[in-house]
Amino acid sequence: MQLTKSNLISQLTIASMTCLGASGAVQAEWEVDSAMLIYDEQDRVSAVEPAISLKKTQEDGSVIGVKVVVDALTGASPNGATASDQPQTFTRPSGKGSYTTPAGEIPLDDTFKDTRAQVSASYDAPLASGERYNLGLSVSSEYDFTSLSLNGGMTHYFNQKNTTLNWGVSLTQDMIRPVGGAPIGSSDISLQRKDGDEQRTTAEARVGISQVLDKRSLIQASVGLASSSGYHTDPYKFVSQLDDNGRPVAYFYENRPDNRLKTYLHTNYRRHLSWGDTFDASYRLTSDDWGITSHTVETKYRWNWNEKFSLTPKVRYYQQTAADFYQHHLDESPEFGDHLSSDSRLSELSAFTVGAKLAYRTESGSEFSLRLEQYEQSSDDKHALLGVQESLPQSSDLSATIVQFGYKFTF
Amino acid sequence: MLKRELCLSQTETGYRASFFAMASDCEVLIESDSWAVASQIGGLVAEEVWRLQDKYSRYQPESWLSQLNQSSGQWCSLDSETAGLFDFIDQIYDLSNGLFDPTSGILRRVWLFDGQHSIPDQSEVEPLLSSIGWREVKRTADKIKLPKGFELDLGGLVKEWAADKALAMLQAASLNEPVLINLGGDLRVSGPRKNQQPWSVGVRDPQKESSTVQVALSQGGIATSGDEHRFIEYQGKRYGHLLNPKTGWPIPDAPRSATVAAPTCLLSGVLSSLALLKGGEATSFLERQNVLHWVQNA
Repeated sequence: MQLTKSNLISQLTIASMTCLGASGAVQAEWEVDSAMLIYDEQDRVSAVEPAISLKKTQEDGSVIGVKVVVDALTGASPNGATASDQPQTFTRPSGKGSYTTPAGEIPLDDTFKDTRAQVSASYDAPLASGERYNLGLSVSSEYDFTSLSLNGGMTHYFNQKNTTLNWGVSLTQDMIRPVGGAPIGSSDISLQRKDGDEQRTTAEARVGISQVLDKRSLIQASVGLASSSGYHTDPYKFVSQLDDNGRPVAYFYENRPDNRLKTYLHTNYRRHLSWGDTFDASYRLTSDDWGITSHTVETKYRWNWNEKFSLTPKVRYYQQTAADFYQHHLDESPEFGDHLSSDSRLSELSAFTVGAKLAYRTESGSEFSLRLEQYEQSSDDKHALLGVQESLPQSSDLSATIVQFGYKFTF
Repeated sequence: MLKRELCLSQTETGYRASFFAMASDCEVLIESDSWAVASQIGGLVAEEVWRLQDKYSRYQPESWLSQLNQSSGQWCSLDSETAGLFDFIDQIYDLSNGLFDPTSGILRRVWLFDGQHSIPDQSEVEPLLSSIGWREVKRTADKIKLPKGFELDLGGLVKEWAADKALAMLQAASLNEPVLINLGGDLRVSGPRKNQQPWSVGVRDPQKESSTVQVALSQGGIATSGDEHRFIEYQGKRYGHLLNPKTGWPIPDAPRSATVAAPTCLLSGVLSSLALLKGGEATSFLERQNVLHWVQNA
């Protein structure tokens, strides 16, 4: 028998690595999370967004991650001008050609059928002292916009890992190259005054704490601060000047401040119920020096039918105040400060999302999922609308449907 | 099936999580002051052991192994986890010259060891030998085919493997609290205890009936092969329960049991199994391996 070999232990140790992994650790595998998201705003923009992220935990406890997202946009988005009871014609941003919006419709600019690609990489590793640090890099590019972002942070554990403190900082540089050049803010669009390329820099810091309350529940809270400076204006958005009857007489380019300071507070409570389901509730408060304060409340309930199927219904309510410089329109003798925008995203609005995710887990641990969500946004603008505007559609009213297919697996 | 429950109780230095799996009482000793951490660790270990039980149990008709055993010569799927284990079995099979063979469990159809007072006839044993042979099992990277009439029994390895895998799972989750995982006597420790002292583990003393010796264990695992209560006494001769897959008869002079301490629980289990297959040479085999061992001779 060959068993007399004295190096049997080392032979067997090497042989058992295939099933135990070296040094007894789990085999390093790539975890893949892939998804295809379809976003469809009624009569406006549609987006198809395939995304794939890969994650691998290595033997030394470090985690490397890579994520790629591609966003293909079709359709048209509001150009900021109000609807009218007469057709409206706008010159395209490039200065070449024009498009006409029929009477009674919100002016939509259909110039851009754009594709955005984003690649990010992250590294998270333990230190000998027990803390973990992380570093990340992200690059995003589309036809008129390039963004580069760097981030780093630390996680500290206290109280037998029942308390976790994490903090991080990031720096983002955006390069904006508007088609036809960046317009001079607040100027009449018929003047076609344009500048060249623009830049924006954002610095962000956040700190968060999570606390295990008992065996089944966890509470998390985080606060963050983001300061950005540079070009914040949407170069393709206009503000309508209306006469006393609510009909447009002129259009102005919007103009946003060069600085923005945003703060946020996020809290989350999660509980694993004794029968296997999970309940999750969160609240987010944001506030910025443009005058926008928002509240988001979201709850989710993961209902595990059996080991294979789960259903997670969710509801979300969002509400925000308008930016100080938001104006639905300008009247005939326009009076406005340095800044001006009629972008409905800066108006007073509220939104309600209802959705559910159905997931199926296979025996090998892969997961297929289907997520369906309906988003309904409506204007809370209390300003009395002028003349014909009262009966015309408003761009802050929006319905969108989100469908996402997901597939998670390891290899 | 028994209800899957995890019990957590306090000990002098932390917590003890206990559960029932793989036909054994199982426990995890956790040196942590936090009940939440202890229940997380206990839960992860129990889930991992139950998962492996659900996959590799011969007794659960839904398990992957049962499905394979009922596949009557058809190709079945093989995942990378199982393929890794089978690659390891290939090596043990070779090292043991074919005596360690997971297809040999079929011999238990005639060797019951349930207190019977007779031994099977050669004419009953002979036909079974054609359904034994690990090398007859065909494998590709992701498929496996058992010849018709073959059955696999991983009972000799899965419990030990599960102890190691459960520990690896804790390490992957960065749960580095000192733990001792005991799956019905096959155990694995994460390292020394919190006070840097070894764990004290009781092992049945082969010299004295019903007494134990204390073993100081600060790394690796311990496993026992064999069952001292399973044998047939027939016409004054003792037939141990360890069968030679080549002859279909018990290995002569095999010890009743062998307990080994080695760097992992799986290695401990393999070495103790190989020792029993050496029959009367078991003790000298283990001495040559330079491992702590306790052999209970027949």
